[in-house]
Amino acid sequence: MPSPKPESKADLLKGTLDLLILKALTFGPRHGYGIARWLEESSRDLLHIEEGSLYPALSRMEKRGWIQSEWGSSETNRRAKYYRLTASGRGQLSSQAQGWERLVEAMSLVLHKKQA
Amino acid sequence: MASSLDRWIRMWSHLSRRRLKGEVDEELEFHLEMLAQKYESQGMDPADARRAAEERFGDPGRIKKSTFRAERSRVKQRNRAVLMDNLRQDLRFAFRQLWKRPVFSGIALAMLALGIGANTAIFSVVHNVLLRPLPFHEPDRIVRIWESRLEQGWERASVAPGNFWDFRDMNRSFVDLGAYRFSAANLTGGEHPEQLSQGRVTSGFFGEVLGVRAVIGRTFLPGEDEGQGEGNVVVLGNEFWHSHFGGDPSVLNTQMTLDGESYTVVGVLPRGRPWLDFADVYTPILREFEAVRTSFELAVIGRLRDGMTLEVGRDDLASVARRLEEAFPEDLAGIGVTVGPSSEWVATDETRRALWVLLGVVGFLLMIACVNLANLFLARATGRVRETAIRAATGASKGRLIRQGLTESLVVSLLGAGLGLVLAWWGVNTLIAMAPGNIDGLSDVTINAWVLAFTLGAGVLTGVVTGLVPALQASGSDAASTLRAGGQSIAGNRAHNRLRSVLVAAEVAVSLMLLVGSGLLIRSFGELMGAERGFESENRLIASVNVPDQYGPDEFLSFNQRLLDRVRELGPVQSAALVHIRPLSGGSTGLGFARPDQPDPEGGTPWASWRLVSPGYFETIGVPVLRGRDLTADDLAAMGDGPLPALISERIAEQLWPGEDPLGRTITLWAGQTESPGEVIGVVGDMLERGIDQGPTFAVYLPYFPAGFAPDIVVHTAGAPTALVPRLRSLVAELDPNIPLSDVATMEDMVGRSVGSRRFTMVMVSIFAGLALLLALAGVYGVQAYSVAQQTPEIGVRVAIGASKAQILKKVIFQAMRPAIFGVVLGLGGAYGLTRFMSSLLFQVETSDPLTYAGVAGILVVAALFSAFLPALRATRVDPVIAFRTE
Repeated sequence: MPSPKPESKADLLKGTLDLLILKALTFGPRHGYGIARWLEESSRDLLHIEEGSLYPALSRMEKRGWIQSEWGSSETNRRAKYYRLTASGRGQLSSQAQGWERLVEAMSLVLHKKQA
Repeated sequence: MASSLDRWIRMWSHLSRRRLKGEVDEELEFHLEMLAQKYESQGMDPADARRAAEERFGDPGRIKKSTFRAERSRVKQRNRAVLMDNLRQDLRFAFRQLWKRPVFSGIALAMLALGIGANTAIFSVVHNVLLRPLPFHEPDRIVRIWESRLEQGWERASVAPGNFWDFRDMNRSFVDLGAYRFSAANLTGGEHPEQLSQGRVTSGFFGEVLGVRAVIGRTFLPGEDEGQGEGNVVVLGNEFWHSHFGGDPSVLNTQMTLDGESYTVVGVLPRGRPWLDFADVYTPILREFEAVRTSFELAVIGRLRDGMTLEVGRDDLASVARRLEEAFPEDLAGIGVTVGPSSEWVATDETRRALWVLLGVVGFLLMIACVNLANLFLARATGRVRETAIRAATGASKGRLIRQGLTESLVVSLLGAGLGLVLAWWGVNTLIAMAPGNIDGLSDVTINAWVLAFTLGAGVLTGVVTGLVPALQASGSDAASTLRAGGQSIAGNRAHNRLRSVLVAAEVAVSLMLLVGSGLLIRSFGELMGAERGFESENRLIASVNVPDQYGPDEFLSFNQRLLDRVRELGPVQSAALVHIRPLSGGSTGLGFARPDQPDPEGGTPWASWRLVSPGYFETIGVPVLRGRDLTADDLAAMGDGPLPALISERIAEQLWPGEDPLGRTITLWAGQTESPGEVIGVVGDMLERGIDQGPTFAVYLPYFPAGFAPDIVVHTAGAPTALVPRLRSLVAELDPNIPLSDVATMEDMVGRSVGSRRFTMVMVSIFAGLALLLALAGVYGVQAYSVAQQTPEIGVRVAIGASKAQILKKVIFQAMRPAIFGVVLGLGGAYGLTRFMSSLLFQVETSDPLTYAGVAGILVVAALFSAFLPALRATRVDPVIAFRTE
């Protein structure tokens, strides 16, 4: 059973949810559920995401013009809202990703330091 | 186009909060169900699956709320962006439309410029003359103060000097009282002598009471009105400073010779009215102890202490008056005070009323312009009915269509307002040039920020009113039926035609009201000019001869005699005489009169104006001596012994001796004051002494004895009187080079000045009413032409089945006249209701004057017939074959 074990999962750092969503949409339009599943698969279910929190974030990102939404029909033929990356969203993704990698690099440099 | 329309519609539906909430719910529910399905497919039972889904998802209620909040903020921002985008599109569309139809645009802009320009011009006058605050510190604390004798029927007399000083010293509610005496002084030392108007004021008049400061130097110092200080000092009025010294500040401490005495310039007042630019120069009044208490000489104003009301001040002064009455029971029996707020100084009641009426008139003019414009838009909307229907069918919302119509009319009306501003700028200057001189504040009317705001407001209002009607009509028509009818929606047209008729009736009604107003004013003015004046004005010249106070009595009399002798020798002079206050000048003198052998009549002693005149005055001014004789040189010589020789006006004779011969009778002059006996030596005709619109007064004429009043000379010439002016001037200079001639005018000028403000109102209202008539007729014509064009197929059918030209003409004209007649009836009722606001502007004409109403209604009906006739004539020339082809 996939009952979550919180202690074994990484909590999401502030501000990283946007980056994950942008990344999820680089492979084409998805609805919110689709984004959640993709994140679960690609992180091998190591991230602890409250899936509902995707939605306010999606709305905020749409307001900023990074993504666009449109109602369409899902694989199961139900009405669903699809999100698509805009040009400005693509730019946002690359700059956020770079920022993230610099942070990771700096963090691991610090954490692996052996002597004072 | 359609896809962008689609987007707009989605935008607008987003505005609906409920719909947005539904969408959020749907999206989140989809997620939960999908998640639950996934767990079920892994073998959970449905209830557990749902619980697990919710655990993974988070609290649905909380998430819904925060998602909805984020969505609403997003949609709001997007709507704003879309609105701006739409506005840009609408503006581009509106300008393109304007550019594409230059004739339509030209007519629309011209009408608006006219309407808004007239309103802006009149508003700028109203604002400057009526609404602008007085140029004083806290003007609501400043009041005007008069003496009264209510038992004798006078409420507002100037204040006697003796009483003024007591009022000033004994009151407890005023910071200070100030007094002003109108006077004149001869300025010498320049190339020519010149008469200046001189205001004599108490020390605190400008500083303490009005709260103004000198622009350079100072005003008067405490004590300067009691003879202390540095000798003769003078303060200059601002206009005088500019006209005589070019506004040069080095004027301070220079010397001026006034009436032969040297004065030092100590300051210059700021610009402004009243009081400030009343006189050229100002000098202190000198306080006299034992000052007279029965000669009403001073204009008095006061500044209330902080927090004191006008009523408190009045009661305070009234109690001072009672103490004075006790102290001087003979001189001051019945003395009271009247106190008026300074707001009364802004304009006379008549000016105020005239300006408000004018503002109303131009408001109506703008209304007519709006109606015409709405009609134009309506006609165009009908022409575009197919385009509109298509857009409505493809999903453009009503709101969107209305907004586009409004944008268009706003663009037109704001452009019109801009043009109107230019027109108003020109109009204000014309108006100032035309206006009579007695409206304070008119000469410096400007287009200021308030006026700009007014114009902008008028433009926006006009745009909304003219745009809303056709836009509502257009969006209200049923798209499907319009398209089916091939773009010529029968139902839509019928509604449009009805609306157009209503608009025509409205503009005819409004223009009729304005014409009635102007008609009443024209009739009044006719009455005024036709009124029996009692004197002649043709070929009469009048001028003030400023004989100085220093002349002794004998010197004064001999100067007067030599002057008259020399003037009578001049070629074109038929007669010449002197009078101490010229007719129609508004200057007044008063005395009580009574029959010594009869008790005073009920209602107190009647009051007459009195004039000192030289022999020959009546002949010169053209007043008939009805009984007895004119004054002679002997009457003047004999003065001092026995009663004063006096001529009385006919009304006095009828009042005191009805049906009897007044000649040789004794009349008590200055009754209740000095009680001087007079002997009636003659009766003269009544004349309109105070003003053409004032009615005749009681008048007493006495010999011109030397009492310190400089004379006005009246000359009756054979030809044009102004040709005499240079010779008169050089003649006076020969007699005494220090005496200036001033206020030279013909009697015709005096009459013109006396009726100036009435003429001004009449001309202005008539111009605007004329414009209103033109606009209304253009409206009738336009609607008629349009409806004939519309009915061409129908008329074609009638012609084909044998209708005669006369029948068609009759039908078409009848159709156009119906709303016009309706408008005339409506306008007559409206005029009857509204003209009573102008009753105070009329002279011997009732506001319900039937002649005016009938005449104006007649003119309008004929004019409307005429403007309906031309298009109707076109209808009779319809060729059925061509008419069918246009179908």
